[in-house]
Amino acid sequence: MKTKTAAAKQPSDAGRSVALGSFFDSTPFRALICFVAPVTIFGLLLASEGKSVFETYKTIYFSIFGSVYGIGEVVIRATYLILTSIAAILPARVGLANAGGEGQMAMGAVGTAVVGSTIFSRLVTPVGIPMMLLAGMFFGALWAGIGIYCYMRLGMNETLTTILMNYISTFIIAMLLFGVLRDPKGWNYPQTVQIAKQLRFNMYFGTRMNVGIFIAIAMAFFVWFVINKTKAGFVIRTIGGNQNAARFAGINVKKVQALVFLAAGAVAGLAGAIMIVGVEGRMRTGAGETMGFMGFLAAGMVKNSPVLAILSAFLIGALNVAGNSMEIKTGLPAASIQILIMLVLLTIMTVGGKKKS
Amino acid sequence: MDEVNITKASIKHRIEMGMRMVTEDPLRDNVVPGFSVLQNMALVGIPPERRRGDIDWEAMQKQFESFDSIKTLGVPASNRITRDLSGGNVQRVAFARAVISNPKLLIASYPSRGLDVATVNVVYNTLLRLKAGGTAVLLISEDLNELYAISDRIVVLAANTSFGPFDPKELDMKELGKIMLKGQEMENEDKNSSSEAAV
Repeated sequence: MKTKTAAAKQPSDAGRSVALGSFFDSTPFRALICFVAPVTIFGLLLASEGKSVFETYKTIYFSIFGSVYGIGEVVIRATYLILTSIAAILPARVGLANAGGEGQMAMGAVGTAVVGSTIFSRLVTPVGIPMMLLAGMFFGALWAGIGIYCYMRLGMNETLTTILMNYISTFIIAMLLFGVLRDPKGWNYPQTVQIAKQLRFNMYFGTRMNVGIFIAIAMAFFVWFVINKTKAGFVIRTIGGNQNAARFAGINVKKVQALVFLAAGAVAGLAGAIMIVGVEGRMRTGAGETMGFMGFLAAGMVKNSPVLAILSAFLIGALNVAGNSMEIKTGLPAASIQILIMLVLLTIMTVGGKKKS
Repeated sequence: MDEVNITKASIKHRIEMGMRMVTEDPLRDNVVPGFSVLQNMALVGIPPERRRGDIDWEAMQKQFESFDSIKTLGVPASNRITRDLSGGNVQRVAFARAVISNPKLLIASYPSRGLDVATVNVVYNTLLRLKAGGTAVLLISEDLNELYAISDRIVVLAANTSFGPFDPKELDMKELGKIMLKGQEMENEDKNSSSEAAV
């Protein structure tokens, strides 16, 4: 009798453990972990600092969803982050790492601000705004071009050059804003002259939201389309898959890599241009800061998929907005929200991806 | 080649002139692991057909099914992902890809590597058929039986020197082996010693 029950029990036990295993592997469970784990760890951290965990999370929630303005701010940051993450994704698809989205975006922004207040200032809206965006792309590509030139001709590591060029761009822009580009009527603020009125985006719902987000989303889908559905994309995927095979197939690997890198710089520059045309209207020190770095993280979070980067950009954008109001409400520094962002990133990278078979 | 010096020609130019190559390690040099067999075939194999800016994969599939050498070599199904294939199957893909375009010059480095006896025979027959069709075949191998089975002329590369060309009908394997070893004695290093044969 005893043996019988044991024998009868065994298969059902085995069945249950299999079902349980597949439950732990299932996507909803993984998604749940990606939410619960960082929130718990960050909560413990808050408690150890003597802050009220509940109050802090309430602040985070309401700063994001509590007002139209909050949502608008999230959308604005997501706009930049989508574009800067694409600037990291494109080179990653041909085996390069562009960590210079920050500098490329800033250079695009300052370039746009300058042409918008000088040579483009008399253009009418339908011509002027596209020209402004193209100008931003040009300056972003130019800055990326220096990095890729160092890689191609001088054999310097492209990740390091682009990271270091972020600092160079920060200081060059500071030099310009405190020097030749400073608005003479700007009460001595380190900022450029405002760009012409007709070159600005309209803002909606009383927030700073503008059409930039649609440009960014369209760009994400466009990049996905080019990579997956075109002949050029096939070349890119070949290089990304095996550079030797690409070379033996007669593909000029370095040339394609250089072009893709320039395109990435252009996309980061576009983020800068949208920032000037949309929200800022002029370049000032610190505008769009950390958006390039965060875009790089947004790309890593989704394993370099341009369409999924839209989601990770919104997530990081939301947490970024929450950080600002957390500083005001709870007295924690805004940077502490970055702990939460990194925790989310790490959990996603640990359990989020497909299990290797 | 065609009386043109190609020492400095780019790989793309060489391919356009009708050169094809099967390297000794296709997984490292020739195929993209994440691609399907068909996608890998599109890299210097099946001539790509375009449709609206993209490669017309349906037309490529039809072409894939139309080639005899793909069938006789037993190339795996076109939708299989190359990463999941065995070494022999990858070799089939790389070799079939090189021969379907009827090249003018085929450089085949260890083309029978990892293949079963039957497929090795198909490979040899394919090489001989190409030769009859006017293709110059440069076979690089260390397998003397293989070289003797299908070569017209054999050149030994050893100790940074080339010996030959020899006619396999006049020189037997032992003699050839001695020449290979002689090179080794001169340099005391056998890594460079490989035999080449022009069919």
